Amino acid sequence: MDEDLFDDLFFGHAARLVRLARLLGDDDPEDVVQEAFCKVYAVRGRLHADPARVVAYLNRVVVNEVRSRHRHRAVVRRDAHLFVHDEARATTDPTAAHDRRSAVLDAMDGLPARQREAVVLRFWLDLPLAAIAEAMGVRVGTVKSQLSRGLDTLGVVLAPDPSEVDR
Amino acid sequence: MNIEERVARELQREADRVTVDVTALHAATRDRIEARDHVPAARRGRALPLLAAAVVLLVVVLGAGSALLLHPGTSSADHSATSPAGGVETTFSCEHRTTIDFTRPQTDDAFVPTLEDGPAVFARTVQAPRWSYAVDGDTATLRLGNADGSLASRTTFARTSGAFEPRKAELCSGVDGGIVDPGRGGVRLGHRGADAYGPSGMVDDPDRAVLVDDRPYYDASGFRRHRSLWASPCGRALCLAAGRPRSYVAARVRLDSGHPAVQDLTDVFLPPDDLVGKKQPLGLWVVYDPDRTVTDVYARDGWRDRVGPARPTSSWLARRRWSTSPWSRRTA
Repeated sequence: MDEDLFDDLFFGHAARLVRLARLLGDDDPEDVVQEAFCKVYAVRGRLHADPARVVAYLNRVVVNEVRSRHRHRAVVRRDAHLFVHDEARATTDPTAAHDRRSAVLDAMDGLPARQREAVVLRFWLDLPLAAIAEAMGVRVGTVKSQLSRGLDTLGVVLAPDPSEVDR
Repeated sequence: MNIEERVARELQREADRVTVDVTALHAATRDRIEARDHVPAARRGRALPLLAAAVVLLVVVLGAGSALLLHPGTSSADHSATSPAGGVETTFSCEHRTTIDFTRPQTDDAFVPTLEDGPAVFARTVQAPRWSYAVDGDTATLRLGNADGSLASRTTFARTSGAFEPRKAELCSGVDGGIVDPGRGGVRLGHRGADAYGPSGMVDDPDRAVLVDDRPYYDASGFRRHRSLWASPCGRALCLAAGRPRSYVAARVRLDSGHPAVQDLTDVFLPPDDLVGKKQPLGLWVVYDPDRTVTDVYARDGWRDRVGPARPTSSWLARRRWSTSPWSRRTA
């Protein structure tokens, strides 16, 4: 892959990948995407010539990067607790952020990481099961089970859609 | 609207909220690539050993992450192997264990062994000091071990449609699937044999820091870890940090009251991430005693009472009393 192709790949997919990283729950999705493209750039000489395969590879790198950051998130969170005054905690209004989010997204925050990955890749990117398996680095059977469990959990957690009630 | 449609709609709404300046992001990414390509010459020599290690790590990570593109069809799950650090004992020496049956629906995915990228990759993912992997026909066993070779977990796999899937795992744990053993003097604060992590990097004033507690626990993968709880003065407050350098939780005890006060520090007592989904077996309180009138501290939990106190170990700690007790909502 030459420099022009790399730039084309960036301008064609960066925005979508930022949104993907955000939906996967990352706090700094733009940094995730920068890291993903840095990794792709590092191996650009060995990448498959088929653009579709390269895009699939990018999806996988982003999923892996978000997953990796989730593992380290606890450390960051712990550091953020340093010397926080009780008053500061008390003035944090959880309802402010909550009001801006839907019940679906709140429920997704409670899903295990792999279930969330499967749900986002299926229902936002609309990827086929095989492509989801490739992005997640698992088998198709695993994707099916993760999707099933994720939807089961969301179905239990979510109340009926208010817009659907009494119709 | 069914659940699938509702999820798809909300995901799209959330995605639409994210605005991306692609041009700026591209420029920043190019800068990052360039910075990594051009390490200053003066730093290259000093960074060489680290760089070499990083390169090795990068190769390993990329090798795993890009296996689909670069090495399709290969898997190290078909061959028995042992970690470079040595093997793992075949029997457990830990007193309590938890069993996971992967053939049944799981409510906790804290430990889900996979051989997708081979046993070595999974072992590295869970930071296993040692591991041993044995294949016998269509079954395989992965044993993960502590640094001394003691067995931390044993997972059996069965080959299904050409790939190994986990069937059952047995992990070391605390009592009742928890992460510590609160029995046999578990409420005692102090040192418990392991070399405590130093306070540097955990508290602001390590020279005056006092070790409150250091105790072993089992993490989500069954490995035996330990964490240190340090206290140090910080202005008109008492700062605490529990964990290990670069990975700890912190709390602050305010000392601006003229009256005795009790503060619940249970949240920082054990590693919160390893406690997810587990029972909190112990509570931790600190009592602030500005006029030194508190002569004793005890907790009552409905089953036992008068637990503690631990005696202060330095002059600046003299006005605080520490106490742990079995945790219960009925604690008074």
